[in-house]
Amino acid sequence: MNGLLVRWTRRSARLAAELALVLGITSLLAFGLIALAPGDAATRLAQQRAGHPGVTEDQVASARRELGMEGSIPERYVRWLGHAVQGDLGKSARTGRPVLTELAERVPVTLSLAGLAAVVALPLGMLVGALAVMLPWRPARRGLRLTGLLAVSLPTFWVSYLLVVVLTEQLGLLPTSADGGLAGYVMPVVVLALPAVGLLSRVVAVSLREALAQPYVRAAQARGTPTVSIVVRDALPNVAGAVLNTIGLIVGGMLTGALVVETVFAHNGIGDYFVQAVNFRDLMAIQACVLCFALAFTATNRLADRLHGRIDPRVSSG
Amino acid sequence: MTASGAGRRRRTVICALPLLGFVMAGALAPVIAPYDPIANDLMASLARPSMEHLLGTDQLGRDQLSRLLYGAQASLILAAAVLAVSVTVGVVIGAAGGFLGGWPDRVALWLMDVTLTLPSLIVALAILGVRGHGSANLVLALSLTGWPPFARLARGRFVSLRRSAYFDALQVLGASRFRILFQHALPALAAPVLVYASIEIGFIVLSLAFLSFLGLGIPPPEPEWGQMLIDARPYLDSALWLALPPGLAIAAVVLASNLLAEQFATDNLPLVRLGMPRRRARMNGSTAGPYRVEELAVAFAGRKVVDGIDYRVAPGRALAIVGESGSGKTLSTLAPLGLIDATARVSGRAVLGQVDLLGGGPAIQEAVRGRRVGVVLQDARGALNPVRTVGALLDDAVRHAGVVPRGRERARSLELLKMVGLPEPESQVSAYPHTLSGGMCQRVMIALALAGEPEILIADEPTSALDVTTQAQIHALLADLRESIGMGLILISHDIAAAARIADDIAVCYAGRIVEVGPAADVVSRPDHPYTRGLLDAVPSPKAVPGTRFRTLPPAEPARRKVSACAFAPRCAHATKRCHVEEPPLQPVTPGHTSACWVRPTVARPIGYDGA
Repeated sequence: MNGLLVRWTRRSARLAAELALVLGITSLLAFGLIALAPGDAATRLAQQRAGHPGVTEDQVASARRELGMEGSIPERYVRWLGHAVQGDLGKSARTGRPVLTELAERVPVTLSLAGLAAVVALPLGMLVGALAVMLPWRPARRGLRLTGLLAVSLPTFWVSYLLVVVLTEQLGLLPTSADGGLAGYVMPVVVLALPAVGLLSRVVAVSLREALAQPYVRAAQARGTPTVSIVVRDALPNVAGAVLNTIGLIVGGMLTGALVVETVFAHNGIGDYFVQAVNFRDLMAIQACVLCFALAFTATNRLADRLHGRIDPRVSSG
Repeated sequence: MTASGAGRRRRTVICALPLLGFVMAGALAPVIAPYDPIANDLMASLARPSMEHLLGTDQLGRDQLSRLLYGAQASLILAAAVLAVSVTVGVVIGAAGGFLGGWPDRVALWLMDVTLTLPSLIVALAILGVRGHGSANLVLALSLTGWPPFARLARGRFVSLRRSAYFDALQVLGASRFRILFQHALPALAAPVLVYASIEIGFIVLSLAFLSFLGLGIPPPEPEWGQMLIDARPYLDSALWLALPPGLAIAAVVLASNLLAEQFATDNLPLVRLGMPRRRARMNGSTAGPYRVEELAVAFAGRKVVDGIDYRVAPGRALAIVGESGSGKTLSTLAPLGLIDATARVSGRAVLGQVDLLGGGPAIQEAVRGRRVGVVLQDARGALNPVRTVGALLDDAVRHAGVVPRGRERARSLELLKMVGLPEPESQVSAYPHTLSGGMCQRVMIALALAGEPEILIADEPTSALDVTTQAQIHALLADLRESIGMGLILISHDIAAAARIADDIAVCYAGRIVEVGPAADVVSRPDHPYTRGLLDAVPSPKAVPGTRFRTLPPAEPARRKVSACAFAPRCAHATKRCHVEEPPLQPVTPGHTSACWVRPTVARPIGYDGA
């Protein structure tokens, strides 16, 4: 009982330390991003606020304060971090509203889109990948392989255009925007899921082939292990490990896809927010989006690593 | 079923063709483009493809073919710039880490790992958002996450160079570290860098289209494929010729890159087929009898690698099949069980009890495997699934064998581990294979093979990866088990002396045939076939005078076997004319001991074991 408590404490301490490290690095990156801006960011912000190039010293000074650009760099970072911890990520230069509030409104939209796409893509990608190796007919295997690779090779916005033209403009089947209720989710989810299915199917196919080429598969055959058991027990852990290793790529692809899909299909998610921020050069908003993406990204990656350690003892022990 | 080298090369070339086309189109655009890509001609607005405009014109009357070619040029220039930066940065970081080692290497590795996990396009967008549009920023944004593959390549190259004896030798010869670095490591990097660069091209082309969509790519009116797709959007239902060529061009280039990437990832990976899931066939006639293999032949692509082999193992007896690598000894034991490559053609009979394993198709073989015939393969560590515990593997094997009632598997597993002499079986059941020594892995393999209480145990070079002491222990274990369980044992080995200590009979295999077979003591003390004697001569003897040279066999010639000749004749010191034109049959030497040799050197000049 006592030992369990000690282990639990130790584990939470390690988790906290790890989290602190990740947050530290992420915040440094997000903070440093502003430094990459050419020219004087404060002047620019003042001009953006005023809506014209002619700005007063006072306006620039207040913008400088807002951007946290007073004092030495370590000083700035500490102050910025202090604000960030309290939930103050600054105000959008475009709308004048607090960035965090705007993000909070939009996160659920992106999460629901990406979540739905993941629910579709995970089983479908695994199935297509497995069939691309196991089907007894060679042309079918090749076809599935090419389809999977093609799915990751097409520009997502073009696929969106083609879908809109055929399904909405010509057949009148689906609405193009979020106003259409659940039906408005069909096309964006399909477009988001398509490259994920392609990527997953190839990862599954390649890792399955690798797994089946392992000597332990032949050894299992040699002791009369049934095929189903070989696939489930010998091949699947390897495949699951490979899939977990690509979670980062898949999440990254979903985020990138969200930018496109939310723009084309008019869903007000973070992707759409990020694109607007980038086009307006809204520094505070860009910074906040990067922070938000980085957190989502590292969280899923850590989770994947944890799961991988559970499946494959070699990952956790060395 | 590995693809042939030529086939792979051909497929690689086909994959690379679109990339080559892309590079040519981009480089030659100013020469081959028929029109100025940004010249408007409102008279020819939205013209269909014709002889004048091969791909038609857009709403401003600009020639689409010219725009497509110049679009390739724009992507190509960007790709070249991004690759130049990525390759330089990557090679410098990777080379520094790999060559210096220590903390610079750790920093380099950490940087690579972190960068590789970043979503490239999000990073690119953040950079462009903060720094604004413009081609320099575009290059910076895409290079920032593009360098790690090149760093990894360079690091690998430099690490292996630093650790090589070759590097030490060059240093001893007085070459400067720096010169060695440039002269020996960098040129070797060129080819793999080129491969990775061609894979990156697809990503850059796709990224540029994506950035154009967000208004951050190459600004109009300069032609760019992504921008062309956006311009074509309003005309998608009326002028499809505007949207298809750029879309297909992007798809072709990116698909080619992806195909190449996968080709290199799966190079040399064999394609393994599993049997279709089916109910296991029940076998009748399990009365124990000898296991007889007769006239077994195995051919790959029409070439016979096992040619008419016979052997038999009575219950409780041990047969050793010895021979050098490639002699067909493994194939001749695994083929009857259906455990060899699916492309092989197997003929002959393999009768266990009353069942012919080769007459009943894969279902019969599957039913026999693990239950009536146990198999121990070479390389025990590789043959144990690394992600499963010893106990889980054994429980499964016991369950599939169906020898104990459900729920009692673990008790039987522990019993098996005790039988094979694994120390502390109760704690080892929860161990993973990577924590076991080679000898312990082999004991676990043997326990797995015994799970079905087989009548025959086939051990294929069970000691090949073990040290000498462990080899002896495993051999002793096999001998003990055979006696205590009373099962038949087939031991495959290249070590005739070790085989003689365990087996009752020895069959010597050469080039897919058995050339000598008989009681172990007989074969070893009175070898008849010159090949058997060659194998015995290769065994070091404790009685030999120090300084005695081994008599060794001359090296094997490339397999260009004549149909009617003794396969060993080209390496045989005693070969006569007849040996080269007529194949010798197995003839009795003494009762139960036969040999396939025309010369019979034993008869003329007996040579004893131990070189006496």
